[in-house]
Amino acid sequence: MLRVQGLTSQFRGRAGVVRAIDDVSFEVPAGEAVGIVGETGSGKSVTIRSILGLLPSYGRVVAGSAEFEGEDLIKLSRTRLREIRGARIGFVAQNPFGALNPVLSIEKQFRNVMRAHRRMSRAELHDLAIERLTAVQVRGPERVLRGYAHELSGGMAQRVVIALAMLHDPPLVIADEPTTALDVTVQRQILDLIDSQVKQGGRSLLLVTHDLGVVAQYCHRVVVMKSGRVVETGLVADVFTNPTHEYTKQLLDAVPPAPWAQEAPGLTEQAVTSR
Amino acid sequence: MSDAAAIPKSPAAEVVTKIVNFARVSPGIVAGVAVLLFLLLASFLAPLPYDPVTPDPTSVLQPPSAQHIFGTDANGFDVFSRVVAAGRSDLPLALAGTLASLVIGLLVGLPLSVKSKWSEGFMRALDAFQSFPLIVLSVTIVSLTGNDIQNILYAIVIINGPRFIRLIRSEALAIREARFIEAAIATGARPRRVMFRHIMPNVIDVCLVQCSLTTANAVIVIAALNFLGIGVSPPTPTWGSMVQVGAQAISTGQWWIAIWPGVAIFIAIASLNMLANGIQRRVEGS
Repeated sequence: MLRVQGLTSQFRGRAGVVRAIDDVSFEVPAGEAVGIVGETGSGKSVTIRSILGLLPSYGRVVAGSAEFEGEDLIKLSRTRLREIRGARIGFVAQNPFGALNPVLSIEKQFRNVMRAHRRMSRAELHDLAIERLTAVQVRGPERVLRGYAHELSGGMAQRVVIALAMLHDPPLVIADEPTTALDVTVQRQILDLIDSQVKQGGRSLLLVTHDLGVVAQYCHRVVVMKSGRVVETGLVADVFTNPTHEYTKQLLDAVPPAPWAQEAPGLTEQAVTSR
Repeated sequence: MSDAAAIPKSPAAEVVTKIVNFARVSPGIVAGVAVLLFLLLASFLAPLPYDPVTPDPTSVLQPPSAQHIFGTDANGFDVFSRVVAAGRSDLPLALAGTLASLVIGLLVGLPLSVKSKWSEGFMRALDAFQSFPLIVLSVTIVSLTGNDIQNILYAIVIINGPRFIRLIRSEALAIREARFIEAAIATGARPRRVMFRHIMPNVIDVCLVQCSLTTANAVIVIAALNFLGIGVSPPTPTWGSMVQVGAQAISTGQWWIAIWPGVAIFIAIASLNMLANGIQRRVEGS
């Protein structure tokens, strides 16, 4: 589905050129969920922004490829990349309030996302928006559509963002720390929601997070990043039970034992007890 | 509160309640709009006691009286009729000039918010252009291109277009950095779509403030040009040309000819500034 190879990105700064990610390689197989974990500043966000062509003007991908459905996203023309973004790859941003336009009604934003790729009558789109909002468990979708982002709670806003990201039924969803800006109480609901939406459509998921528990619970594979490099990658079960890299071990040791980790499908009993 | 809501109201009463509530929050906007509407309606609909373009040679330089409440000028024109009728050309022209400046500001300013060498260069060129005294520039242009009402429109755009471009570009530069613009790009929106569907709605509020200030400025520019005798043919009443005619009579004691059009200009500008101030407060409050 998505194969990233040797991806290297640089930023021009006052202090010269900074290499933010270096030789990043991993793979997202079709229908699987892959988690990228790492501490703040390890290059998780830069990696996905490089893949999506969303680096700021002073950033640039200098090497590597990101092959998606047979095309290299890095080398694609802007026009072709635009056709893929949103339609074939859905993006869920970190902070839902940042991701929603403050001065446009939610319905207008559905319209904008739809019209970026496809024409649809207002009435049809309205019905579709209601349907999609209901699917992400937004209560009172009619009222939400008429309203604005600031009227929503964090959890509701992120549900709207997820519904928008899924509007074109993209086969790949990229989520950049989708729950970091939310209350702990709704984090799990949102993750469950993304998980079910991805599974229902048989989609692939690239989930960026710094929470190993989340990776254990929702992902098949894990990519561990540190200082812009991939230090370890593999199946969650393997990496968590037999971490080969010192940094992965440290990360795993840093996780406090959580009771719900025991129901994590990616982990064997042994992995939980060995910690 | 709940009792008041329970009483059924006629639609008209509801509108009145809404306006009253709005006036409580933003008195400036309501007052400014009311005065402007009054000026516009008066100039187009009010019955005039005398024909503003037909002089009466038998009553020249009459002080204000029951017959001529604002007096008459040296040609025998009724000042009141002319002050009211001048709003017909001055106000729509000011509004049209503002609208044209806004459209140019959006069409040029939004694309310029994309950082590039080209856009930086354009802004420096705009700096150079704006460093001219623009009123002098527009006087030159209008007098070179001919005494035409259209040319006054160009003069307003020459002066105010760059201001809109600058304002809209700087606002758009800030909004372009917002996460929701990145999110919009991530949905595959084309740059033009991002500009006009995602960024533009976010700059409209500051544009409104600038619009009312620009209209006030346009009223002054029109008056200044007319005062200099540019853009109008003599019998047509305009506030600027009336002040000019009246100014010559002040030294001989006929103060009323220049004062009344001056008061009209003042009222128009004061109401527009009140409006701008009111919108500004709302924008900042939100």
